[in-house]
Amino acid sequence: MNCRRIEQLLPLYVGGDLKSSLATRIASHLEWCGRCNWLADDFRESQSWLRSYESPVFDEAFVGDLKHRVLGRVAETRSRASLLPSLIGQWNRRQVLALAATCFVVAGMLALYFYQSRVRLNSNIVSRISNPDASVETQEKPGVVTEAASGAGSKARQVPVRRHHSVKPQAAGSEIASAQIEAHPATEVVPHANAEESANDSTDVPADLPEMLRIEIQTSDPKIRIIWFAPKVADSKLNKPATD
Amino acid sequence: MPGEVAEIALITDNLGLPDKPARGSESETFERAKSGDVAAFEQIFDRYQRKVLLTAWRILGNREDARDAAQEVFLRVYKYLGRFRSDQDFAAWLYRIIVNVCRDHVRKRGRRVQFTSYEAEHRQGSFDSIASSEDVEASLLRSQQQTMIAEALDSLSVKERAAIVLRDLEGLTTEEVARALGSSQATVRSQISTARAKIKRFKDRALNRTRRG
Repeated sequence: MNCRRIEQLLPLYVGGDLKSSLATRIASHLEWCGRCNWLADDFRESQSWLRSYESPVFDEAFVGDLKHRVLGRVAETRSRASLLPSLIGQWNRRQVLALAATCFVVAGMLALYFYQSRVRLNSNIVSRISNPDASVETQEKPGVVTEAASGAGSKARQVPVRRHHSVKPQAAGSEIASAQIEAHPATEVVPHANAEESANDSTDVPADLPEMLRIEIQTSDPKIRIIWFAPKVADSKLNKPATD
Repeated sequence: MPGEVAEIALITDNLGLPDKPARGSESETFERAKSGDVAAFEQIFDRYQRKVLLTAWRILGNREDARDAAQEVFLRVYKYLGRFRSDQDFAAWLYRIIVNVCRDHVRKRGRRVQFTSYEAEHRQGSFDSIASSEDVEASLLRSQQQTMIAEALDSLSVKERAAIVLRDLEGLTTEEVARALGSSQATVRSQISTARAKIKRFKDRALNRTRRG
């Protein structure tokens, strides 16, 4: 072991913080190396110098003030304590993390459930609107979902529809994506190739809303078609040139 | 074989010593305090207040910070006493809280520790009054030396200071210091070594300045 290594270990050697085997080797080095021995004495002196650091005497008033503060805060804590904090106080970090993770999963599942039910509702509405064959007798205007009462001649409830995305089967031969924009008169019913989905559509009666635009966009997937209803009035306003 | 002996010594040295069990009466006091007995907690306070104040003062360097830290330490003791097992060493558990509180205190303040001078502490009447037989020169030298030590401790980082205070001033073993700091023994040895070397350098420089002055 050379002097440089000894020099690195001396701070621990003088404090007795080394393993006995290592300490023995250093002691044998110090017996013949005057410089390292002098350095070790210097470290010992420095350590005793540090240990001469006097500690203050904290008087009664100082300690009394501290005690008063601590017991006051303890009394506050006790009075504030309720069942819930005491229960939570018993939990460790892992339990809190597990509870948080469970809450997160439950919240995610609820969100997914609500999202899916909403999508299902929307797709039902769109399939009713875009299926003219079934609603030809009762539907008056596209773009309006009307829930007809079961009895003939009863008043219908009208629900305007702004935009729908629907997934429905596509007729053969229409693989190429296309966009169709059609203006529908008040009484016109949009013809549609697919007539099979009209089992429940007999209850839908479109109401007398202004003319609607029906935009159909065929996606690259033949089974997916996006149908968008927009009031024609808004379009005509938009297309109107500025007269100023 | 000397190599094998050294190996065995090394292994046994690394083994964690069992926690010192709390003594009978102390153990009862802890149990009572755990169940919410304020009188028992007061007993614990009376027994350990000096140790807490002194350690906090040595790490933080002034009375006001030490008092704030000691207050927080005892509040944490009250709060977490339920987690303390009676087979544990209470002093070691307490040291760990003290060190954590002092670290938080320094972090919260966002500054280095401010060690007050020996004179300032003396003016506040915290030290024993100097005996009348001591001459003025001796008291001045003593005051100067205490201020130098405070400055030397101030030159260390919080971790190094905590390690050196617990090892050299509180007299804990390296293993106990490691437990209190929540570090490995190797880390603590490294911190202690650095701190001792820094203190020696500081002392050498200060003494040289004094001789030249």
